[in-house]
Amino acid sequence: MNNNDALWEDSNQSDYMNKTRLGLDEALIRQISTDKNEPAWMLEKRLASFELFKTKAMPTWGPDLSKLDLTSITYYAKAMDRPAESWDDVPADIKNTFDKLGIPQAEQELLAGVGAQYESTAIYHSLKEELSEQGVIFEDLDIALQKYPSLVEPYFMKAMPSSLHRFAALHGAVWSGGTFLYIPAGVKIEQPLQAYFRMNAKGMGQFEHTLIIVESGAQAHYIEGCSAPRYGVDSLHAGGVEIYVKEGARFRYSSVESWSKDAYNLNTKRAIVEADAHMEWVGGNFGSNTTMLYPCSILKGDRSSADHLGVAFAGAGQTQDTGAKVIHLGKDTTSNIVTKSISREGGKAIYRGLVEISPLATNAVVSVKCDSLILDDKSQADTIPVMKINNETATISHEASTGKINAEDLFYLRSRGIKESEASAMIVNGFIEPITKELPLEYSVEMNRLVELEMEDSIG
Amino acid sequence: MKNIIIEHAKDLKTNSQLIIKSKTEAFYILIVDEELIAEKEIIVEAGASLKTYYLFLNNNSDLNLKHVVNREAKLNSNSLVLSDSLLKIKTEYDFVGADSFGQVSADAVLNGAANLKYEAILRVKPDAQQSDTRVDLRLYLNSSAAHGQLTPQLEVAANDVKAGHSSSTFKLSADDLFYLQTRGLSLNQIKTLQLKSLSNKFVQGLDNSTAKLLLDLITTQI
Repeated sequence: MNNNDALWEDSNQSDYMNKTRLGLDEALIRQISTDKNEPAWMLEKRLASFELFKTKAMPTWGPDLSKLDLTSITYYAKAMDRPAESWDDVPADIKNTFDKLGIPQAEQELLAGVGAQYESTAIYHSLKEELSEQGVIFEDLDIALQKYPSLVEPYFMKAMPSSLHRFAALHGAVWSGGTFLYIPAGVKIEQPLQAYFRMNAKGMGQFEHTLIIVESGAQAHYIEGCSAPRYGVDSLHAGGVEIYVKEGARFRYSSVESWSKDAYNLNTKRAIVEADAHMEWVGGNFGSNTTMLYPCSILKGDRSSADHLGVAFAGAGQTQDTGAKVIHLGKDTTSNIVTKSISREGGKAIYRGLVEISPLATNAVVSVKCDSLILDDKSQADTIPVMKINNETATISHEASTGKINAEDLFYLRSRGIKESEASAMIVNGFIEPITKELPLEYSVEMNRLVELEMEDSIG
Repeated sequence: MKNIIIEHAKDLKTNSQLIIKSKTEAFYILIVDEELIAEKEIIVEAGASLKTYYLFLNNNSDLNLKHVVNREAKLNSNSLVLSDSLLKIKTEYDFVGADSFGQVSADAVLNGAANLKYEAILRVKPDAQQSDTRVDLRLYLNSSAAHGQLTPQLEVAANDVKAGHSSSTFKLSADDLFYLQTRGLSLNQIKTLQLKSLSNKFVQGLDNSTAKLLLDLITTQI
């Protein structure tokens, strides 16, 4: 994967934006649904979500969202009428953006499948032929809704209901594009699948929905990447991710989010994990003005387990309010949460987590470890872990620490002729290494590069 | 000169303040043995040292204890909760001066249909550089009907500090339980033994007469 400062500076001409408007009302929701030729149940779901959205208040906890003006957001913009059949058919200006991100190159070299979304709709999706032959489906969710309605309907917004919070309701009303991934029972995919989401236009809102079903005994790794250019006008990302990991399956969801620093990233990600199944979340949060993101695992089945690994980097003017949520419902369930946060230049990094042990979840084992690095005296790191324990057999341990870069480590590197900023970046990359080592090499290099860019103030 | 201040729930005003004067050393013991809804602020002035012992015994209470720790001041705060009731405890620790020190420890043993909500919020303010602070919370559920919610919250706004927290649940391993049972102890006796062990740990650092006062109260509850 390439990474280029221009990604946060350059934006393409957006003629399709002439057909859009700001703000949200029922007419726009009906227009989105008509535009996509959706079944009636989906329109009903959208309208019900919109009604919920109108009744739900902004969150009263967490970062200040009072400056987010929801009337100034463009909720739906279609860059292409339909996804391209091949990469060559993607319009040159859009292709140029994804070329900079290294998407086609990565597809050839290391991915089992790739998807790309530009504004509200997918522009390209492909999957290796041998996986299609095994019954794997990797599509834009809009298309999957037409082609596989019986697979989509039973799962869509069940793990992440619109009633969850205001932005889940908004998402339910205006969702567009995203990924549908279905892995049949017993199919094990060695190479990762990837989707990349690009929000290009000024004041845009992106609400892609990722729906993943991993059938019994299947195994896969899916990666999402996101970016947006900087305009000095607020943009909003309120995506949704739902993952269903069936009995004995294993699934890893990785994401590297590097939004521009005028974007609000208010994303919702939830997984339901059945018996003997395992779910892994690996996340890197960079960029954005404000992020509120707490991937959630619902350990429904006996002996199910989840790992949550996360890195957040808060620079000047940024609030990274991230964490994890694990709800233990089944017996003998296990969860492991490891997070690392870095704050500098007045940035604020917050770990906010919830571990809940239900009364029937006997012998649950939980381990939570959060480490924060504060690089200067203007920045802040908070840790807010909540443990709700309703079963006496649970074993829970939580440990958190906050500190600064060790002066001796810095001195050692500087004595070897390394510049202070480079030495600091090296130390920070060492600090997050337990997370990056879980990513494929290309992506861990990408995350390390993002840290270096953050240390140079280059992102967003 | 050491000062020992002992307060019972019945003597505690709804909103009260305790100031530990600069460069003095004090012990503050709060015994919450009856229903109480109160807020108390404790200020540890520069260079002072305070050890607090909060004992919560079977009652429905809602308590907010705020602590402000100034420059070069030290605070050791120990809490023991023995409850079968509804209990809401919020403890706040603001470290506002450089070179301040704080060690916060709480053990909660919940029986019957106890429902405990325990928040320990530790704030390291921007001026509290070179401070050293830590919170440790432990929860022991002795009943299938008991519920506990722990939040050890850390807010750090200074970079040259040591700050940490932990929370954990505790249960005897099957091996430990088996060993004690082979020595002829019943399950109830084992639980009592555990409580006595926690109680003895809780009163460490107190003079004999004060420690005895607290242990007698705890024994009555057991």
